[in-house]
Amino acid sequence: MKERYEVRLAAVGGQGLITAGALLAKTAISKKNLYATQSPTYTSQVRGGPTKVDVIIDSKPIIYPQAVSIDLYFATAQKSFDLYYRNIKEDAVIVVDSDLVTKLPENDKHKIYKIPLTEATSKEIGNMVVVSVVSLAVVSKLSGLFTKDELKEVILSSVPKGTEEINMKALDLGFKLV
Amino acid sequence: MSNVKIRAGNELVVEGAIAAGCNFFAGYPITPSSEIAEGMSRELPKVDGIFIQMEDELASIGAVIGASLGGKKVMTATSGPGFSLKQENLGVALIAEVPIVIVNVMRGGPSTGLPTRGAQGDVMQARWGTHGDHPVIALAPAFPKEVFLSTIDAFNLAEKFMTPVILLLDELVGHSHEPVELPGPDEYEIINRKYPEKLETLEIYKRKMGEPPLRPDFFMGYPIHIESLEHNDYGYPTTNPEIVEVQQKRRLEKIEQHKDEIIRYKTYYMDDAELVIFAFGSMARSALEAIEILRKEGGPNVGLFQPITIWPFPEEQLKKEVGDRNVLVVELNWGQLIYEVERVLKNNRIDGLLKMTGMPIRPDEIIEKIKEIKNA
Repeated sequence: MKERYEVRLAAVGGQGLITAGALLAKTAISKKNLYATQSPTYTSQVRGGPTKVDVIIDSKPIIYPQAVSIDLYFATAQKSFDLYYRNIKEDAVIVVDSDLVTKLPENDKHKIYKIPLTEATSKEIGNMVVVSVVSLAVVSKLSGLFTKDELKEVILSSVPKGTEEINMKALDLGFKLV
Repeated sequence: MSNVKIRAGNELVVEGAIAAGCNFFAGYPITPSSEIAEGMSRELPKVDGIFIQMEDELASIGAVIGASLGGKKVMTATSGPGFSLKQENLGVALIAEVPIVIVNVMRGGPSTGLPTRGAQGDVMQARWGTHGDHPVIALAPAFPKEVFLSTIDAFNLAEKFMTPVILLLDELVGHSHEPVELPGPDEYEIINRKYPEKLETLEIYKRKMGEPPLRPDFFMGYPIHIESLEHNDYGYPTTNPEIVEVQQKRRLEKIEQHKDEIIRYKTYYMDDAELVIFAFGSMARSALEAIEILRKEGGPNVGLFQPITIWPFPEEQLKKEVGDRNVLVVELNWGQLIYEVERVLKNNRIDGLLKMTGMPIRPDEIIEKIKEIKNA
């Protein structure tokens, strides 16, 4: 683990990305014994408003809990992608839901992964509620932050009873999609 | 990290309030403060407390004033638009000398403004939002443990000085989820309201200048009178200028004479600092990050003065800590506390990094400003 790793997840309210951010931070703390913070930003619209969550992971205590130099930028909505496309490192990785983020900046030199998150989740799992867990898996694999087993434990201890199976399917799907 | 929990600032306000002995909350949810109402609705019933979701912000502060007069330890929480609505009744609590805690998790304004982007624009509103001359206590913590302890402090100060206390978080402090090791009960003090041992007179506002009133609550069996008009020692309306002067001064002096007890602040890296940043809340955190980065890069060496109590303003403390050094004020607004800093440090060079875009001022922006000052 290098010193500070910053992840920004941008979405619209209702996609569950703030929950995914919380699980990322929780995994870093409980499974890796690292410091982590999770700072969400959302609008007064409960659903449909542009949201983001900054997750900072560090081996030492975090003074400033907002992203300033993003290592991994993940977006699942065009308007949120556009609004929060800033403070991204030159060597950062960008991941977008290829169904929902179609317009990428011209001349963008980042390594960009276009993943059909929505389509795959709806086709293979049939329930969009778990798209946040699929996203979490994608981010973990691309960043190399956490293994599937590490995530598994944290997800199982966090999700409502009776949803374990579908969440595990989502986790598998996320790792498969990358 | 065994004792470590992951908490957002708003959740720490709830835990701090319960630890302080809060047993009544009335509020109307508004982002970015809603998690406080949510948490209180869950936690208060467990301690035989009362939670009421009122019809609006005006009724919420009315309810907490009433409950406080009935002997409860009370809190309400809101954000800028709701804080505006509460100003009238804040004045009632000030003139009647009723202990209440009001949390304002600041977002961008004016009006409904920017839900729910962080801002520090309600600093002067906290000071002067309600009309007339009055004392104010406002605390603005930055780090998770400070949020917990400042919430307890807010109750302690309210009960001790019989006055409203405003807890100002900014959205970034309220919403950042972070690991925190919560202090145990042996690490903080809880102050409860004092009562007269025996009430020999109904002159409930009579006391030595500089002291808070000592009086029974309602329903303790005494026919006491409390209201929002300027009053005599019995609490009945008066316009007698000699009495008015005494009452006005009593309210101001009970805070003024205890400023040292009320003012809390922190300093970082001051010993060898050639420039001192003045910043509170989330901006103190951005500043501290900037300071540490600069020190790793070989300078310039900068220090931080972080007020936790912003009202009363830490005049003497700032003078003492800063000396004749240059100061950079970083605020997430277009300039509010900088006027206080200028008033107190009349001969220092004072620059401001003052901005409100709905996004926080980042450490790299602070570093750029420091270099600009250095090269000027």
